Amino acid sequence: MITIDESDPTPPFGQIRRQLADEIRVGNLAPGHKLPSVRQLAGDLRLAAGTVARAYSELEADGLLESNRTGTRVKQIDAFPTQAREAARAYIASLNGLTLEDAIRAVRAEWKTTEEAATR
Amino acid sequence: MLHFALLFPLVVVVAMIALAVARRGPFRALHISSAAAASAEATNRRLRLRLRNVGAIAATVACATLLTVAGLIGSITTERQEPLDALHLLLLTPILTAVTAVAFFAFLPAFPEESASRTADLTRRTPLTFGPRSVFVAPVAAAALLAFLIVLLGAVADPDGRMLSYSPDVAKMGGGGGTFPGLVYGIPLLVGMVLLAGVLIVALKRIASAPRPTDASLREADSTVRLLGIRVVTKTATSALLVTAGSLCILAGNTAESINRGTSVDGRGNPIPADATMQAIGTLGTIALWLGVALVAAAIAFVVGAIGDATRKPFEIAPVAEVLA
Repeated sequence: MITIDESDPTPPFGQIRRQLADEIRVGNLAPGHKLPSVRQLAGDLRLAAGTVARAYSELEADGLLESNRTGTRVKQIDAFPTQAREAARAYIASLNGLTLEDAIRAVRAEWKTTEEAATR
Repeated sequence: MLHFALLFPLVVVVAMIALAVARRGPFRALHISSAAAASAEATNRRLRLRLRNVGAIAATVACATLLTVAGLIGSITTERQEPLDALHLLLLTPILTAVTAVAFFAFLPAFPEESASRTADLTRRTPLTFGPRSVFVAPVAAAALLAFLIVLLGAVADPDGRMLSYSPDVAKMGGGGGTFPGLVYGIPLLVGMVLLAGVLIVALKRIASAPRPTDASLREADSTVRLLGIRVVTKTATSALLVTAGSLCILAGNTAESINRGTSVDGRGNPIPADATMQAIGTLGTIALWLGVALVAAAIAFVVGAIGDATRKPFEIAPVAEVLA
């Protein structure tokens, strides 16, 4: 399921791209899964077809999707390691009301600190 | 040719009479949340008006225009018309009318929604998502039958592709022939059939992939509207193919029977015994005539079904207890 959030500053094509990439990486969309046509997805989300086409083409460039004459399918990729998903789940449970953006920012900052400490 | 020109209008008139006397309630009774009921009712009203008006106008205009042109051409001149003559247009009329109707029926009205929420499933909707496979068998079978008839009659016709004639070898007199749907008529029909198939495929894809309502309680109503749309376009295409196949059979059968009748007397009007070939032509002609009548009757049934589905109310909002019962 894709949802367009009006309050999200990310443009709609970015929201589609991010949500689709997440669904593919966590394995909710299996390799070979045939995605809806650009026209169908654009119609359901009440967006211009070009917006969905841009999200699809960027996901193709990221190596997550592949298109041919029969449509767009999910490509075979290495899913997130189970260990990383379990750690992320534990982290989410301990957040106590923090937003997703704050949580990601905190991980990024700690990741940088850990890398810098390791190189010293 | 007059009786032949009246064949297609006859199908439409019989279908209209059948519909006028038929009882037609809503296609389904659905439970829809009170919040979405207004949207559902609005779509019900818009769909009925749109399908009924557009379908009727498109079919009538196309049929009337083509028949008028064909009739005018046929009545003005007795010379052979190239590349298309009046019979070409008469044979192509059902298919071209169906192309017009299917193209218009592909446009389904959306459910009006005030919700700001925008969500989408990540599953591709296809015609098979909404219609059972049996719905799609009829047009495929009708197309296969028409293609078979075109090839068969093309092989049987004289080398000029538009006549069938036979003269007994022994008598060297009598004999006969007439207009026959050989490849001169068959090839334009094949082109028309390919055009109809293309338009039908595009229409089915369009009906399946049209935007769906966000409100989950409208999903069943949405599926019902799509299913009715699919039934209308497949039945319309099937009826056009069947009436065309029936027309070919009637035309071929009529010519074959007239050959048999023409060879039963010699030049002085004395009866001559029919040879085995003449008898076979006569028998096949009779079979073809009856097959043609059966195909036209089947086409009428499909036209009645298509117009019935297009004009009936797709659903009514039923009380919860009724749905559970």
